[in-house]
Amino acid sequence: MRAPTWNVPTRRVPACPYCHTRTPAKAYLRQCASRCGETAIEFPVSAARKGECPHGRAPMARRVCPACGQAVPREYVEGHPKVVVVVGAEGSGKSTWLASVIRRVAKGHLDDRFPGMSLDVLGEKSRLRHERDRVLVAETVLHRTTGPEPLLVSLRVRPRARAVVIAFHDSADGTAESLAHADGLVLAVEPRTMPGDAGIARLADAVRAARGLRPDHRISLPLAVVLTKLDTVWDMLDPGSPLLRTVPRTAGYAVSDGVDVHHETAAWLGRWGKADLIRGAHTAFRRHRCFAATALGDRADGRREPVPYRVEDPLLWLLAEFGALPTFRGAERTSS
Amino acid sequence: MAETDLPGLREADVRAYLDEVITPVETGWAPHRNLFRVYRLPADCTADEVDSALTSIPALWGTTELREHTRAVERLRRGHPIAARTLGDPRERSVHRTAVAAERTALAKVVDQFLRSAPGMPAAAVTALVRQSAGRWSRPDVLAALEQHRAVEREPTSLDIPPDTPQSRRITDALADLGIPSLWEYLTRNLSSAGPDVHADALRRRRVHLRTRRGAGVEAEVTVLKIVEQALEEPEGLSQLLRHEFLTELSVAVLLGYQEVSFLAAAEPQRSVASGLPRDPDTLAYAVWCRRTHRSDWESDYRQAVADGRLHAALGVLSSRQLTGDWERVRDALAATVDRLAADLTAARELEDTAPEDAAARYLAAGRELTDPAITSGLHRCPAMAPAEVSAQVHHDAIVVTWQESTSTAGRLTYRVSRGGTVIADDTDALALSDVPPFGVPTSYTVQTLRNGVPGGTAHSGEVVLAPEVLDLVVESTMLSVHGRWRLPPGAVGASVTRIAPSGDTAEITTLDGTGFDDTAVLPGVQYRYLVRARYPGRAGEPEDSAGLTVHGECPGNPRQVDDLRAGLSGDTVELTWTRQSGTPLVIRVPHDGVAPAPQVLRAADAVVAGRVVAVSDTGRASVPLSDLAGQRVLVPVSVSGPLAAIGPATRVTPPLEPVSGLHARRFGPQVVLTWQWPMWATDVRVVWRLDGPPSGPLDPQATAFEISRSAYAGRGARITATLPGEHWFGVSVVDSGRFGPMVTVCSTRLREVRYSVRRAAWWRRGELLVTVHGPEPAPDIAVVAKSGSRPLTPEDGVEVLRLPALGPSEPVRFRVPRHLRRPVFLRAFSLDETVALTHPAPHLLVVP
Repeated sequence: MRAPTWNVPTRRVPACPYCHTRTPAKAYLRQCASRCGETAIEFPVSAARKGECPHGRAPMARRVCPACGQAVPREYVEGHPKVVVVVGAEGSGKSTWLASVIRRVAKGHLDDRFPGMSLDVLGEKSRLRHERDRVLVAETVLHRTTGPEPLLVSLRVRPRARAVVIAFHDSADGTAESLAHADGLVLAVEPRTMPGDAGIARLADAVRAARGLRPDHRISLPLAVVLTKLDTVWDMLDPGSPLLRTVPRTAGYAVSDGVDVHHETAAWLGRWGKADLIRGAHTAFRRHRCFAATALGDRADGRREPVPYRVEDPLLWLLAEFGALPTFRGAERTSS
Repeated sequence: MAETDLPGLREADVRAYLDEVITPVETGWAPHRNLFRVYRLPADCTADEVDSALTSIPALWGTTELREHTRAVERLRRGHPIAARTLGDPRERSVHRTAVAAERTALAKVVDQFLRSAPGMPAAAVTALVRQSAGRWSRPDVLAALEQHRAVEREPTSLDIPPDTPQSRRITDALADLGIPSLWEYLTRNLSSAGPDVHADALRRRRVHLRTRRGAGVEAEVTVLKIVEQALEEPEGLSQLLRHEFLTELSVAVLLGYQEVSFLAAAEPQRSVASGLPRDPDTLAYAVWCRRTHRSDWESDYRQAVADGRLHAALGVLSSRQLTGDWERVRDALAATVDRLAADLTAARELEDTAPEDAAARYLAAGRELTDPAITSGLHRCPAMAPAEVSAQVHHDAIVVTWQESTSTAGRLTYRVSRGGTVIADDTDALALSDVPPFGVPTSYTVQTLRNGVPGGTAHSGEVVLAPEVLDLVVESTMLSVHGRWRLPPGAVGASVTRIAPSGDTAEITTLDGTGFDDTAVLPGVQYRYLVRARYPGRAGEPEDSAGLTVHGECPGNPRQVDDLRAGLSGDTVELTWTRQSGTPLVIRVPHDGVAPAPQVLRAADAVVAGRVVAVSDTGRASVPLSDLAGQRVLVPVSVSGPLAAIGPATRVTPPLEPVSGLHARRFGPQVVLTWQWPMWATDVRVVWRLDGPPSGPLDPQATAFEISRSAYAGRGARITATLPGEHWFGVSVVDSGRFGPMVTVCSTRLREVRYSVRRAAWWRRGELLVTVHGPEPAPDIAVVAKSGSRPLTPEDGVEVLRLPALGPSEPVRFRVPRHLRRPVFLRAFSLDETVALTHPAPHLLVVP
């Protein structure tokens, strides 16, 4: 096994997850706690003396964006937030995939590969949305429209590792602001839909327009093309297909398994009339990878709990691309 | 009228002179009272004007228009010398001017008293005033005085004034009881939000609302509603009631002056409309004012008399006056009616002895048109028959009085019910009522028939005693005695208790101050009946007892075990049956660990050793939802008696063991996920599996096994790691307390994995690739397939570039990718043996750029 490769994250001015205004961390505002009563005010972070508000009391931990007035979690402002934009056609399973992967990591289902990996949902709005999506995944498979608010999470790969703060923006097309500040893209594709490019050309144009790039510029953002609802096409797969293989138990991202899945998924997408999607992703995005996953699993037998499969692969690849996760060239397979 | 000096009179002036001078003089006005008017002079006239008038006016008297008024002209001529002297002398003229002004002032005061702020006077009033002045004032004087008060001669609008009827008087009385000043206010306040639009529905709703209430106010309001309902059924009925009421109020206001009438008329315009009166308040006020102030009232006297049924009086009003043609016809018709009614009364008087019912009917018929004391006295002489029978019976805590209908037929028959000297119902048309007399006292009832309110015959009931039972009677048992407690009803002085044993033996039990007993002379396990009767003082020292209440009491003995508890399944419910024990409820308990305690008698507080309670019943049967058992199957009967409990033999629920359905195995590499549908009763299954053959049963010694609960299956599913290649057989059977249901099997094949690799050949063999099959196991037939752009998914999905036989060389085999395939080219090796799967350790090397 090769030694893992690490990318050192570079500090930059974080953009507000709500209004996307880039504001230095010290320019964010803090709020007096409720104990200050009617005299409570908002004051710049730099105005805090010994961590206290002007009334000499401990202020609230959260920050307030000076541009839009929205409360932003402290971890987001002081950390190295990554913006991941999840796009895809309506009903393609974006929100379900996102809720499933968050739930899977938060409940410790990846402990066998990543001992001590933890995930916290940041901020009241994100917690409300996570709770709603959790119910969405656990109780029903009906899709519904989600709001424009991002989902903020703090993820630690190991117990004492630096937390990676990620803002997931989940929308059908992706707003120009979120695409302009995105660090990674996830494109959800549903199997057996109408042939075409699944919106990859429109997505590439939107990213280029948001970032002011030339029309023929190859975008350097990592793009994960996720083939969702894999359980609906299980019966078509060969028993030896990598899509039905056990996920390798490596403490990082297994490149060989990822490439295997990528080639297999791309081949199936091409067979289902989505060669334009593969071609468009290859042409427009310098870094892209295909994944296949199911967030709910086959629940026809009446089980209450969903049985997700390989939903975490896109997130692990993005983390590896962000430099927050080690990568392994080979695959560690379980012994047969 | 201003006096002007007009030497020559035109035709219009002649007519004015006729109105102002000639006509008043003809009707008695003395010309010397105002010589300025006779000679058409201003009050401040000069001597020349006087001389001219004294010449020209007498010449006027000789004109054709005035000459025919001989009497007036002669009177003027006779007074001319005195007039010439008076007017010709400045001093006398001044004195005369002062006298004329004083007359004007006096007349103005008189007119002011008549007007009392009214805007005018009718012509008849003006004429009457002139007539009453006996020549002191003339009509022009009065008109001038009116003008001075800014009033005019004006005729009032005629009003249709309804007479005062019995309905209007009753409604006035009822409204007085309610404390509401007028029917209009009652209607607008209680029945309608928009004034006069009163509907029968609103009346019905109000009556329904009042049906649940009692009191004098309610009765008065019911009376109002009845009259309004009757009025609504007649055309303009309600309007007449409102008009009479409004005009009465306005007439009373006349006493306070015209301003009060005008204010009242203008206060509620909707009321005027609803009453059928003029909408203009000034017109209405003036009409009422003139009617009360300036009009003779014989017409209203006549109408009132007719409305009251006083036909003789009405006829007297008409007969005492000089009538016009229409009124004469009215008088004649009225006289005929009076004669007819007098004949009817005479005939009724003659029938009183022979046919009293017919006589009463005739009296009543006449009474509908005529009010006459002879009718009332006649009805008293023909009383209605008494009810045939009156009965009084005790029903619960009241006495129900019933009677049979009177045999009389004439008139409206009602009844008056009285207890002793107390009338408890009057003028009721019901044939039964309930009453609560004093408790424990013999009481009888009297029912009297009323014919149109005139008392008739009476009937009496027998004596009856109302003796309510004791209240809140409860009986409690201890191990040695039975205690009873109750409350005495009002009027009771004590109670008596009788104990009745199952054998029929009776015994009187002493009561504690009349509100309870403690019976210690009882045997445990024997159920006694206790008859408790309330005691009342009665009459003449003889106490009266109530019928009595019966309760059961029993001192508990040792509890008896229930040894025949049976359990059966019915859908999702466990049906339990056992032999019922009187007075002892059975508690069904479920042991927590499924182990039932041995049958025994123990303290009731220790019965918890038998588990938690799932049902309590004393009927010999109970139903328990299966979900309440929480997976347990053992049920323990516990009978409780006092401080002791008896645990009986437990019974067991035996649900049917059915096979699972829809068993399916899905393989993810070495892992197999089993799915199935659970039978209704199943809570656990046993999963067994083995290689190369189905398990022989749930206890197959060669199979691997584990048990999984329903909740665990719902949570994480059933996952099994079966890594060895070959056919894995899985069996699933429902398990319940060591019993197994039918086993269902399914097979999942694990392919044998063979690794292969593809790498570049040495640099001098440009473009060649090497494929190698690894592993100790024999390799299958292998086909290497190449495809442009994407990975081949099947052996047919591309170009086969190499085929290796099954027993081929284990050394690397060289092959070359055809040049015509567009790069990148994806390679993949397929096993032609379906039991073998090929894997590549580094798939990115399978791409030829």
